[in-house]
Amino acid sequence: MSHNAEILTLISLIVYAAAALAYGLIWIKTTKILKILAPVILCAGLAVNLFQLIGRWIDTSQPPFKTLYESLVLLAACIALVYLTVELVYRARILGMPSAAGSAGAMLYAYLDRAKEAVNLPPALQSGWFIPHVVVYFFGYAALFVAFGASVIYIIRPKPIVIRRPDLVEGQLIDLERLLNGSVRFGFALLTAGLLVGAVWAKAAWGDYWAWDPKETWSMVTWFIFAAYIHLYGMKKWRGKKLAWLVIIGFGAVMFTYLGMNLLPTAEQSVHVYQ
Amino acid sequence: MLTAFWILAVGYLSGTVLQQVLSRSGIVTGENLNVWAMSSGLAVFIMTSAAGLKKSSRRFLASTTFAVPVLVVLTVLSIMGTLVLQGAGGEIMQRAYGPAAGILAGFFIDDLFHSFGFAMVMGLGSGGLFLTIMLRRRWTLRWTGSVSAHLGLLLMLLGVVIGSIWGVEGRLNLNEGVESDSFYVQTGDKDVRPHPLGFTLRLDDFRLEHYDTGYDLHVFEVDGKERKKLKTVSADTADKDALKEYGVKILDYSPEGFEPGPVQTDEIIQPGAGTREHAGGGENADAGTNAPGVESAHVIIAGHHRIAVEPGGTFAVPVTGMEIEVINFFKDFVMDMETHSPRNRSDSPENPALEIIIRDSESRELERTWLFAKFPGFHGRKEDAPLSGLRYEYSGNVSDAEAHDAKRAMKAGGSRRTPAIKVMIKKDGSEKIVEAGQPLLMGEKLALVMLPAGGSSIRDYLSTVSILKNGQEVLKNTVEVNHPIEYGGFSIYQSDYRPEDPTFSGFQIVRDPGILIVYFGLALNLAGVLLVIFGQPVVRRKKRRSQTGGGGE
Repeated sequence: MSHNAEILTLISLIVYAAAALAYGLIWIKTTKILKILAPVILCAGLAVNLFQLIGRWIDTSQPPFKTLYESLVLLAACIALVYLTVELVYRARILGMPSAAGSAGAMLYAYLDRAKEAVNLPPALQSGWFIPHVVVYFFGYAALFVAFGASVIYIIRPKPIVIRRPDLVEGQLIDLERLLNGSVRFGFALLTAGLLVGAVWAKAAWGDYWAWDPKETWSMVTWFIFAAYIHLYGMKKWRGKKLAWLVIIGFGAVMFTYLGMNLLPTAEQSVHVYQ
Repeated sequence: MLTAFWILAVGYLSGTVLQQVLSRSGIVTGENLNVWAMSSGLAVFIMTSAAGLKKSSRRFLASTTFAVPVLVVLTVLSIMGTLVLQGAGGEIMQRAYGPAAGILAGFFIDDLFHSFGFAMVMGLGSGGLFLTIMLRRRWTLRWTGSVSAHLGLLLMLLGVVIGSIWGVEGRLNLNEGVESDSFYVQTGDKDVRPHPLGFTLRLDDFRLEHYDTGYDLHVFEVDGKERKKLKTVSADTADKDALKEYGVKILDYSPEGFEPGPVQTDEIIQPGAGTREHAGGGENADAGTNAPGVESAHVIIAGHHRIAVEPGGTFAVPVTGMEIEVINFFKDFVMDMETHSPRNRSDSPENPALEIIIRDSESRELERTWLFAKFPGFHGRKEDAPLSGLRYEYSGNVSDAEAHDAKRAMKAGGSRRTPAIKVMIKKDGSEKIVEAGQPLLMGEKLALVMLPAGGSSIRDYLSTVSILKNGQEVLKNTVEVNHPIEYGGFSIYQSDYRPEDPTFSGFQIVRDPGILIVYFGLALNLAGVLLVIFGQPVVRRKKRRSQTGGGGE
């Protein structure tokens, strides 16, 4: 199991890295072959990634979302899926490189993680709320990762980018800011849903819908930051680079919520900390 | 925005000052802190809402210019609450933060989420939410979504206030066949008071179910408190040289454990015999530590080994190479809210507790923890913590007969043998038995430990309970993790178990009159967010399509 996990992780990592390279080449020179090849490679990486996830689910007879390794594998798949949806909707490949690199980065972390063995689900996680809670949150993280990539590009290159979309008025431009905003809003909606599901589940499991667990608190912090974004988007003087920086800060908070809990003195008894 | 930050800072500091004054005058105590904090937040909410009667104030308080600073301040406070230990007590805070502990306590940052200051910022924010809803706008889809999202948050907070003021939450520990008509609510000073249930709850049966996934043998690199897993192999691996790079040869594995080696099962190691001073410490402590039949008031159980200890002494844990220093003992442990330190509540052994330091063979501190004789799971130690399976037995002030009965009951319940693996340490050619949960230190840096494969071995724990009214059984049901039962306005949750006592079950008992409002608020908030985020683009797209089609709305 652990051996197979290592091989599949390595294959996904290589294919995602190749996709990042192909999308990166599109930035330099857009050719017909690259425009077809890049998403095809990304889809291949996603296929291996999903095979790995589903295979582990079948092998262990439990959702593979418990360990850090499993969550990284899930995150890689979510980033690729969210990005492919963005590409399909907006016909824009500019976010392909950071997104594929994000999936490859998650896979690299997973590959380097020594604890690839599946662990038994403790009683509290054997709940119908477990899957929706984790999946909703990870799609939210993935959407915010795509927004993070868009923010970085926006700060470097804030000019409008032409995006072809058949249902739009011919010749209309959608600038990167709108694409970024769409990703943040989608991510924010999923964070809201994740908080709600988590609260209902916590109530069923422990009798408290909120216990000021550090991960809960940091989830709220990320929610506050992106709620501030949603409010500030309506103020013209905040639009542009300032908001792009806020998204970068917000995504930093997301990453800390996901991976940084071990650093907190208050997280020793947390049920959310990856061992 | 600067004005908003000033208002919030004044609100927070006023709350802190008010809490200091009321706490010092004895009006606010640990028990009523939550109610007072919620009430102060509610008062600020009403004042903020009333300030909105003036049009200019209303516009400001309902604006983004006020909302964003509220979010920023709540973000900063929330982050602070995760960076500073919360509700840890004076001694731990002193140890963690030194002289700064006093400042943190003075500003109530050591219990930030229950402080007046935090409640007042929430009150100001809620006032802003209320005024946002009250602003008259055109009922567009976006505005409907916005109202729904803000109203949802407000209702959720209302539910929280109702639950905090009129709700109750506590614990009840029962053994099979035992019943109770009240449960115990933890008050602010870590003391408990009984609260009537209005019915009788009886534990008929308790079941602890295990995963049958076997055991794994792990090699850890240990450096002080840091532990890094280097390699894991299945305990029943056919490859006996699987750990040869660490100088270990696997000889034999037995799920039933081996016949005791140098130290006899259930024999007691006398105080002194196992101390570092007498036995030379570390693995050498194996020799000369057998002293069957000796009783002591304090016994620490590490796997098969029962080590009689005394406060102030340091005691070697056989085979593991580790030591335990007993630094404190309380016959009836409670946490004093005034001093934030533990103290004896009485001279009766109601809650015997030992504070210990676990050290490695070089006497470096690995962990400092409390062991509670009556609450073995209370310290919440993880399964891979050093000597994770430690337990504490106290027999002082307990009659010989009771002690004998208790031991017999424990043995009867503990018939399940501890799995063990026999290994050879190539360095010195010695054979060692590694029992599940008891690490074996190999040199300065490496440790060998056997743990259930897949982490925790506990699959589920569930209790069959009966509810009695006037002596008559009115309900019989099973309480399971994630599946509480409801009766008489209370929800009863399965919350605890004791591996060494299969007749014990712990319950969390909650009455929360605000819960439906909280759920409704959360759902309304989500609906509003979805409407704003996904509804608006749909409308915009439809509009655009109709415009390109030559029409228009």
